[in-house]
Amino acid sequence: MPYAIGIDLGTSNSVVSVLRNGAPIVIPDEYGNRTHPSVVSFGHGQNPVVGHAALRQMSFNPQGTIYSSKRLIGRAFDSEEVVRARHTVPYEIVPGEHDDPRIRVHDRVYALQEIGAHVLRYLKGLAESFLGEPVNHAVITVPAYFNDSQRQATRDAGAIAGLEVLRIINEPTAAALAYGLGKKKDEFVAVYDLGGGTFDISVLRIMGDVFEVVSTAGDTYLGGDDFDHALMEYFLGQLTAEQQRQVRRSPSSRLKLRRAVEAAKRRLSEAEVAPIHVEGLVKDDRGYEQPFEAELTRIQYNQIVFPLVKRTFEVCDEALTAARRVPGDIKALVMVGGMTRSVIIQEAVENYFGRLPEEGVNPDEVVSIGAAIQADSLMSAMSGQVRTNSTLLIDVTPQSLGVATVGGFVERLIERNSQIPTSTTKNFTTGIDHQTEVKIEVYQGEARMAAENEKLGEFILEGLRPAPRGDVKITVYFDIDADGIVSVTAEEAGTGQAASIRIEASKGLSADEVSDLREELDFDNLGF
Amino acid sequence: MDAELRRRIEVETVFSILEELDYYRMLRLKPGAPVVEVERAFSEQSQAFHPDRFFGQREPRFTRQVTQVFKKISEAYQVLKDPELKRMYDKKLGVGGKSPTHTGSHSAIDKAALERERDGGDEEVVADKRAKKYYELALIARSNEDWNGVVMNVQFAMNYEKDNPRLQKMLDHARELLAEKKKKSANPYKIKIV
Repeated sequence: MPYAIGIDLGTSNSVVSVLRNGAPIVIPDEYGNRTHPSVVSFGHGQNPVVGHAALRQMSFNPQGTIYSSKRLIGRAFDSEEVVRARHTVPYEIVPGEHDDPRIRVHDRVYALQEIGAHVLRYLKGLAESFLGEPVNHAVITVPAYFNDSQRQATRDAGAIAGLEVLRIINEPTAAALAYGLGKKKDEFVAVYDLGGGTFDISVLRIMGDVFEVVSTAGDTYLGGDDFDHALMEYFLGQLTAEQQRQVRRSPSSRLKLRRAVEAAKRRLSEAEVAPIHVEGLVKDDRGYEQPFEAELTRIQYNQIVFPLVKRTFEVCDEALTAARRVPGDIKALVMVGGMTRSVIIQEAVENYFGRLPEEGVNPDEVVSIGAAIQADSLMSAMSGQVRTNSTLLIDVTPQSLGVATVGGFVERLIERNSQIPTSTTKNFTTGIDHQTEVKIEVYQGEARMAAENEKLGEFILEGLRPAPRGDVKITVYFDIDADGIVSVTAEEAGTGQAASIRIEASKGLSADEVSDLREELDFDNLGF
Repeated sequence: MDAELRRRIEVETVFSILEELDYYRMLRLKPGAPVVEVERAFSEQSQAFHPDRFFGQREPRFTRQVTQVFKKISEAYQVLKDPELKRMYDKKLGVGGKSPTHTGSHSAIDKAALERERDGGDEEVVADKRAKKYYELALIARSNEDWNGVVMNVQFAMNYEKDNPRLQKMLDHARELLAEKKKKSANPYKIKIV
């Protein structure tokens, strides 16, 4: 059976793992690094570099070095997140043809899927050199709260990188798989996942080799970067108005300060107080460069980030309520993401759940190991080699699905946290006399109003029998398969008139674009 | 026989009698089995019938069959692990020597029907067209936990259907919740103007 790899494609760092003879292995690069910065740096006239080499380019080539691109993938150009990123990142974000954000570097425009593909291609290469054979199959993880178009964009990034993506799974779910591998327990587990860009919480029930996701909740815009951002704002506040303007205007000064607060934040995991020193951050009124000196104590830090920490527990409440559980039912607590190393987070989590997090779980590696476990399980099934003790993951749909109705409301057909595969039907009727067609708009999200949810797609059911409103019955059928792919069918009762769609992400690339980009990437990597 | 082939035949066999199986038989349990057994049975049946166990099979017809089988296993689990739904289901099935309150096909008492019954919400709560309009607004208000809105709209609906017991029940419930909410937010220092 060929190997299938597990990839944790993170906002800041990525990790690749594989299951060899049932044992998980984290794949290192040639220098022994086990995590690889999700950074792609495009130099003039050269092939892009990825990982640690790209991270080193950041201060020399800020406009050509793309980091945190996961925050943009699969989003709309005018979405809040993209607008915010345009003000904070030093590289240039431009609108693409599908209303998607794209990145312009040295007069070339890249889709976010391409940026992701460069990272994935690099990780695929690491696995191939490590295993000594070609690797073509992978499971990739995403935050639990990624919507359909973000998931599809991640899948496309894999395809561009030359990987057959067996499944996209949620990061916290993957962590639970890694925690429970071979433990044969029957218990509830919670995964608290605070990474660079997102926060997710998942509740799972482990029954031997079967992992049942019970509920999941998250916030796609709450992560370590927000902690850094809050700290940067705090220290900017200590400068004069003119100095603040200088720093905000200069990408390299912002980067210097960001690096300094990040380092101080890490330092506070061990120390009570961390010094901050940034050389040449600002100029004094005579135009001389001045260093910036400050101190960050643990108490100050706690106060600054308290609102962010509190928000994570509001999300925990949500997940436990959906699971009909209380914190005391959770028998194991798995912490994921670099931010969970922070003392304030550990103390707050212990306080909330009333128990210590599991030891011996490496928060940086556990997600990719889980992805490798799922990759191995699916690959065995594909090769007809299912073992009775193979790991089985039973997942849920992360967000509710519904259709728009009269008045701009959403009628939910599938509630979030429903086990998948699943399907459901609901009857609707016409709202206008002698209406002969009806538009079915499909939405994903929890808001009552359609406009506040993510629109997945729409289609028209034509040829309705003309009749007074309310007389025509329309049955809408929703289906989600084990891959999480949504299909919707609408049918007029009695006449058999029907129309349907299989949802493909509205901001996604077409199949042709994906295959063109794949060829291009291959070309780049051959060194032409 | 080849293990892979045996597993496929098992799926096809279960699929062919899917309509006749009640939720207990779906999980290969005795009728009325307790929740702990339901949970264990679900994990065992999932191991055998989850579509991922046949991942990458190139025959769409077979994939559809195994998906249908697993969906019903999952549905059985959702109903039988929920104490309230299980009690309702057991009663209809006539578990424990009692005579079943439901006769005919098992597939008619599915999860959706049980949930509708639990929520007291058939589409035909009200018959009058004008009452229906207000009833629907009341449902929206209820899903937003706007109890004032519920009270108001149910009262409007009851202008057209005065003696509807379901509407009366909904009104009483909303008033109760509203009173509770008021009590919670009551300001003891408020001065009352006389």
